[in-house]
Amino acid sequence: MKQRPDIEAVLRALKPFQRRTVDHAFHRLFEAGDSSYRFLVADEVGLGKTLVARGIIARAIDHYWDTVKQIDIIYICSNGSIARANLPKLQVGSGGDHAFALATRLTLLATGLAPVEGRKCLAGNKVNFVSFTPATSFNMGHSSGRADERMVLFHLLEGLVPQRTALMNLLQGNIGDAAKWRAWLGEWETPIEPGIRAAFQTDFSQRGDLRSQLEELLVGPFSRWRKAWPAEVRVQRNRIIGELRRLLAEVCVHALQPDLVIMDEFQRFKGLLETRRDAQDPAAELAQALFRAKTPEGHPVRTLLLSATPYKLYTADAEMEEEDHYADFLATTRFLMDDDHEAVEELKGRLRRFNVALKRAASGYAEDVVGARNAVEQELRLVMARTERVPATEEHDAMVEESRLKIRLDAADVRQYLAANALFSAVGERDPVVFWKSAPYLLHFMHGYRFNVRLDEVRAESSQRLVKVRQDHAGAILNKEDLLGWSPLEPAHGKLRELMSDMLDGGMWRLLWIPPTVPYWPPEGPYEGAGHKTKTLLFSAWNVVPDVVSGSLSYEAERRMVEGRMQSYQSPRDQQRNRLRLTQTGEGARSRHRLLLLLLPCLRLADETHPLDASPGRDRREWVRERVETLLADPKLPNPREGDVDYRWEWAAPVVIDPSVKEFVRQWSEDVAGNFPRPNPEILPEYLADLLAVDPLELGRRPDNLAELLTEVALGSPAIVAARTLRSGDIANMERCGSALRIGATFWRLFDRPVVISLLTQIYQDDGETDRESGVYWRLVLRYCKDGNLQSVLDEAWHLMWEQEAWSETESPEEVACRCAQTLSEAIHAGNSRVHARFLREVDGGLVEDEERIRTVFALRFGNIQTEEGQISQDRVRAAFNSPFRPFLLATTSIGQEGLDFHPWCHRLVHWGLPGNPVDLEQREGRVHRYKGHAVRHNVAAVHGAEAISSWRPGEDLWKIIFDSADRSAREALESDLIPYWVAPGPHRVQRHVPLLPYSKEIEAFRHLKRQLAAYRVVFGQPRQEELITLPDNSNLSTKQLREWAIDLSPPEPVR
Amino acid sequence: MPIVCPRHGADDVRLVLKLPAEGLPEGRVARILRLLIGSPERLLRFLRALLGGLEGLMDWSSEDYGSTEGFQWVSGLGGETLLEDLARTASRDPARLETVRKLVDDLRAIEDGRKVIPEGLYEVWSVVDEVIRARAGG
Repeated sequence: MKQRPDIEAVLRALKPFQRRTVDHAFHRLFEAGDSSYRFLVADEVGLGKTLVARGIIARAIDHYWDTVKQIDIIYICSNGSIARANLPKLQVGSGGDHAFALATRLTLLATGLAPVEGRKCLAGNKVNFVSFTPATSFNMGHSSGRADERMVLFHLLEGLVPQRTALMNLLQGNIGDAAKWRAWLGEWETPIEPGIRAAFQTDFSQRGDLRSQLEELLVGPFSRWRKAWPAEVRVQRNRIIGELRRLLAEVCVHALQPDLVIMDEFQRFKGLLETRRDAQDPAAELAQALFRAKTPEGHPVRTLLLSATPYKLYTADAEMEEEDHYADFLATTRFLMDDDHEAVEELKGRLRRFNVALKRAASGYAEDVVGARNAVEQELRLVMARTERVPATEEHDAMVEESRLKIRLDAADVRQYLAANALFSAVGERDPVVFWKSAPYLLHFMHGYRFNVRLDEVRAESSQRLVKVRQDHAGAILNKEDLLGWSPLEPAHGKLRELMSDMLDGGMWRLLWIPPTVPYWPPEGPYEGAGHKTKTLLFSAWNVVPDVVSGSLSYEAERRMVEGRMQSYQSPRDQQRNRLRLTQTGEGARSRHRLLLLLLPCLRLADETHPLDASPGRDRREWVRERVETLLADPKLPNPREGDVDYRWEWAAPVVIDPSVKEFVRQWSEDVAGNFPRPNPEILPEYLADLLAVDPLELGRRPDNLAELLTEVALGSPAIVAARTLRSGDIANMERCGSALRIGATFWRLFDRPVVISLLTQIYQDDGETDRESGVYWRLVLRYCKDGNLQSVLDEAWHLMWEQEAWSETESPEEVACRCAQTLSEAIHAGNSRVHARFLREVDGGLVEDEERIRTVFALRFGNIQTEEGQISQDRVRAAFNSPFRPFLLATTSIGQEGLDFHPWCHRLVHWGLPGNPVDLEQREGRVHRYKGHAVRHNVAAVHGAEAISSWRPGEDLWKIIFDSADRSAREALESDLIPYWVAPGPHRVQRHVPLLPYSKEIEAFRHLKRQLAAYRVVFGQPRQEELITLPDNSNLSTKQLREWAIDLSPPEPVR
Repeated sequence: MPIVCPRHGADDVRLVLKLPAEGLPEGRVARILRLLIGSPERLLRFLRALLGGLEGLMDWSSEDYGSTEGFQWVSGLGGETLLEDLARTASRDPARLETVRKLVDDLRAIEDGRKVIPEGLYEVWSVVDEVIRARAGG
């Protein structure tokens, strides 16, 4: 980096509260006279901590620019994938002219930082970014580490000890093949950073003990190669290698001499922060060496911690043995205060006084509370800042709205318990009541539970007991034949019944995407009246729940889509042939060219009929039709008035209207590298050749319905729609066509799925208004896309994705668009995932196991999923849920609770089971209440949508205009900084659904949880929080009063 | 069905009342109800005691008659909790529900009694009762 970074440009991208946090953190880290050189940014999840870190980095670089020769910034996070995702966002300045090392281990910095051709090394750069992960960097243990680490050690020690062969033997570690190991060492060409080499050699020669221990082994057991060494020798070997790795790591730490260390989500490795020497392990000691290193200029290292949950925020009494808020909180603050005993004691004293004030307030004497709280805030703000959503909402509810539908108990539900209890008791398991309250049909879905193991044992030994249970409770056990014959699935569970009724009876099974927030025309058909629909994120602590819920909902959704059109659940493709297929007769006749209208991105048609161009008040569909007629009336286009009607017009029109389509079709047809999708690859080239062969001047008279047909295409063809969406990305035309084709082809696959064919046929062909011509399947596809406002859906989805992807300052819009198109395509047609249902079948008086795999498309389990096409990664499952397309419900255990976002199309959360801690409840809700979340968009669009549409100009991103306008209004009205991006007033809320079975224990538990939720912020930093919380709980203090006493650590206006 | 109650300050328990399974004469029901089950909360506690065993019973009987003040939620037991015990009894010892059935029928027969049974609770009971009857019939 040769040029000083333009920090204003970096800071301009920040929202005001983020900027305040940057300024405050920077002041405390770099300017304040009483700085501890450490600071924690603990903003709530989803508020953009990475952006804040970027701002602090920019200011730090600017601060050091004139006085520091080489500015080194270290980024430490828990794994490589987070590092890869975040590093590009943190690197301030244009790419390419600063060094960048992504080492998985600290020791490998010795090679990672070495000068090699084509890459810069640390020395000589103005700014360096270095990243590594702590688990493998600081924690050496007594292990022999990785082979590449030992290779570095070999080349560092070679020459320092005379026994070269013995050294090879010793460092061979557990590699079995000596010849291979020696060949690796011989072929080694990776240079080692000269400074690190020199420092290692000096340090090693000063460590006489280490040297003599090593030599003892080298002249002893390792002097000759052996196939295997005795266990005690291996232990000695590993210990000495561990010591050598540690020495190397120390050397690397000193070589770094960082100016700023950033630790992201540091709670995952907070043992490293331990400052008390007696409690430290070697890993923490090494980390402390990093934090305490001095730069060549002699100034201390600044450490910035990032975490939404830096310590356990609240500990209920029952959890005290496992984790304690108070101890955890003090350990973190001790680190932040650089182990300054006086400062820590001062804070503890202030917290104690606040504690006393709260207790007095519970007895009616509240006058000390505010003063005591202010004193705590003042002390804590020196080392931390936290911004939360709750204070930003008018009703202090963080936009959360609770709906508690009445859950009804049904006879089938009771029969489930009787069956479960009989089954559990037959296999010798205890009371299944907790499982029964979570899910029906336990027999089929208890994968991974001890029950299943016992069931197998009993089935093998004495299946008669099980046979009897099956007979006694036949009505409460699923029958595989019924399932395969598409019988309705009885929910048999109060919560499942409510969920099915809400999601399926409400018509969501007819939708293939969530309706847009800003429809461009009134949604029709299945989308009529569905504008408020959102996705659902469901949490349960029990592993059985995601399988039962996703399996049942998906099965029922499909059953309704199929509605008697298929005989069997199995092999749908055998029962419903493809409807989007290019064909050719034996004589070579081709007649399905019109299908290509779903794939051809005709840019002129797309751009000149953009529905947002319509003047206010017009029905945009009507306007598009007029535009199509105007286009066709272009005097440059052939329009013979005489002769026979030439039906080739219907599919050739895009080529005639826009000659550049031919250029694209040529590229498509000549593509051998697989850049473009090729549906029906065996026949596609012939069809493309037909398109290329069209000579507009040879075409005969136009069919009467041409304008009508092209209007349908303009409004509903996925490729046209995608081409319009892509225009906002400032992409070259041919690239735009390529991406639009890729997206169009994914819709082609979606609409060609057997159950989707059934759905569309059911919706449109049975309505009695569809004639033969308009009822051909590809036209139903156009109609469905038009009814569902696909254009506005894609525009909205694209806006959200683009913002996520367009980070790098060096990447071209084409590259970003290509990645977005890829992500979108993967989401439109996610893999065929399934859950396994287990059945027992009677054979010769015994029971054999039988299995059926239930397709889960409508609702999905979160996690890595095995499919027929291989594994779908957790990231792809999340990407699919974060698109407007299916799945509409994601069911997860607590793994989805932390750190991940699910908000783009979901503002409905179901707490199927209650968490034990109020913070967990908020953490779950934090997954869907994030930047530009679905509820936020609804509220913002309701106020600013119409105005934004009227000011829209071709090529612009409508959603950017909407949010810009909302942002201006919020700033003029001096609203909270979180408005409008994180919080937006209006009728749409984050919906908290808590289905509670009537008269069950959870009803009382939920009341308790809610009281804690209202009050836990008041008891921040206090020991025995639950005890303290019950004091105001039992007094007459209002929730409003409690909120006012909560500790607020939002950043103050900076001292300049 | 024996009802047991700890004497205040004593460790032993003694038998205080026996509810005949055949139903109670109307006048006595009313008196017993007034004494024992004056409110929905006390009915619930009574039912829990009946279904949940001695532990629940002691919870129930050691509190002051008729008072719903200071009603505490004790480690998962309490409040409106009944479903779990009902389900367990329905599965393991459905005959014990005969007493509940009689009591509910008796209570529903008089106006004071109907006030004591919340509609939601009656719905839950009816569903459980329907299943038990059907199984017994089958």
